[in-house]
Amino acid sequence: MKVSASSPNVIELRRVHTRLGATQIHEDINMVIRANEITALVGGSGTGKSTLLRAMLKLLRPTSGSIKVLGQELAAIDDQGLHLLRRRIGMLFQYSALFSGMTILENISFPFREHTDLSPEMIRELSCLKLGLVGLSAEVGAKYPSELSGGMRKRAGLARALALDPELLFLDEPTSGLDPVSASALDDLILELQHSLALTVLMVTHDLDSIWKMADRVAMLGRGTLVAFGGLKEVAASPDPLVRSFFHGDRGPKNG
Amino acid sequence: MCQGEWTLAFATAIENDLEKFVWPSAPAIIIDASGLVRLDTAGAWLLFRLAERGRRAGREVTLSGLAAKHASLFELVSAHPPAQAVRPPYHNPLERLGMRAVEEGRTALQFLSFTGETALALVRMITSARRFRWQDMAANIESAGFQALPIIGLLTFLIGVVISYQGGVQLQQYGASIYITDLVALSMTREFAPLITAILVAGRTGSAYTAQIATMQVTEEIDAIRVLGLDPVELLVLPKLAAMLIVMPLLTLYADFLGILGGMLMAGLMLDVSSTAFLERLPDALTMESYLIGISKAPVFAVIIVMVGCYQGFMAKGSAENVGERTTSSVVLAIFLVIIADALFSVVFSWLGI
Repeated sequence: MKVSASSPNVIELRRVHTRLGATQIHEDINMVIRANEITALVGGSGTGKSTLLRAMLKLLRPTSGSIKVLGQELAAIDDQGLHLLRRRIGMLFQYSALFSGMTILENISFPFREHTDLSPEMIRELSCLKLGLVGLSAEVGAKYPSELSGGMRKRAGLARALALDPELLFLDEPTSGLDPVSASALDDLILELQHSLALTVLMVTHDLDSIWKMADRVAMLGRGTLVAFGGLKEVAASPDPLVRSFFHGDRGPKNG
Repeated sequence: MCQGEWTLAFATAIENDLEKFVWPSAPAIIIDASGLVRLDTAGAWLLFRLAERGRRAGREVTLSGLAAKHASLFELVSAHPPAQAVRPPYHNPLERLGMRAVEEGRTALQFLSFTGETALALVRMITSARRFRWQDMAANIESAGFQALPIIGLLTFLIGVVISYQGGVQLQQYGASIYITDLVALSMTREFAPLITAILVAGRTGSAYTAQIATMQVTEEIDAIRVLGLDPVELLVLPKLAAMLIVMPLLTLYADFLGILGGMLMAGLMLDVSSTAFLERLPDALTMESYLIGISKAPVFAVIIVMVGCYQGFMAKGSAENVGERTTSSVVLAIFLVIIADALFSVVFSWLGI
């Protein structure tokens, strides 16, 4: 999906400040994420990427400012509303966060069992379908998370995140810890699913290859604030030293 | 003709409607999907399943009018038909019993080999005069011994009170109230103090040992210790073993003291056996032999608790849940073995006639 000016805003951040203890993490962050786009949230370690992601899921409260997700103001939302909102959001955690006491198939069925009144047969079929969508075989479904490789765990985590057909998908370092081939395959998979399921994706990542391949827009955090935000090529061409070192440093052989 | 929203929220209703759907007799059927407003994977799957069912019923099914935005989703779903879930193989009860027996036998052997490994590490450490971890041992003495004083003291005190009360009622009928000293002192020192102490320590400290080592096992810290050229048994087990061997006899002595104190107070209140009379009787009632028999059990219980706790920790694998399971079985097994050992002590002592 290409950037189009008419897409509705899925996430709106207005003057977000976050302070954890004595440390100022975010200062005055303004950002809009539009529907059907893939936005990459980048920045060095400790610049508060994951913190921002957690704030958008209301797992953490910013010190001030407003965050609107899928049209709803997070600060004003009640518990019931938050539950309903979170059902429209899928999240792939950095370490997959699969429930270790359940098999993969049970992990994927879990949101169905908790949130829908589908028949067990239908839940099983849909869970197997999601398993197939992320490219895992049926034998994997009967295994426990500890028996899988990192790449398979990421895929299983993705299947669970996609279980309830979310409109918005958060990915926290989807390719970290994967070999380049698996990482590239996961990128392709996310792109394909994003296209077919019309997902809006926000991913935190360090992987330049994924960014060039997938991102429509890039938001770069640094110095406690949003250093650059815009279309991929536009950001990559920015003269800001942080952006330059990220995109054109020694480890960034590719340039647009 | 399909219309409206085919999404997860309505999937059950749609599925129920589809159950009632009867295929027309015509050989070729066209599913008109032009009325679909929204479609998600659940809806697409229902649509796919409907078409498949038609094909299996011998009809030629075509799908028409699917909007472009839905077509790619439908293709995605059709391209990945769900694999049939693999069910774990079924074992009949006899097979399960056999598997369980083999499993338990293997566990027993592993436990034996772990005990041997620890003994070897102990010998190695003594002979090569390697640096013993005094600080670890001291920390263990504090957490397993000193911090356990209040609970062990309170419980053995109460046990003393209960023995004195229950026994006193009977002794009073025979006018033999003074023998309450013998009853309390012998039962506390020979049986209750070592046993209660061991059970409490197994629950308090054995479980903590298992949780600590199991967590380290799950997070690969044990492997890290090995890779750094150290021996996890020497590093983690020996200081605990040494600490427990020191602490358990002391705790047992402390439990003896508080148990007898509880019994004495109760005797004074209920049987009019004054504490002076009680204490005068005590040297005759409590022989050195009985006292030593009780204390001698303590190191044995200490070894059982440490070995079971550490062994269960090292056996952990996989997940956080396993850490919990290991901790539970550590406590159950340690208490079980402590009571078995206590019973064996009784048998052996009665053979020896002491």
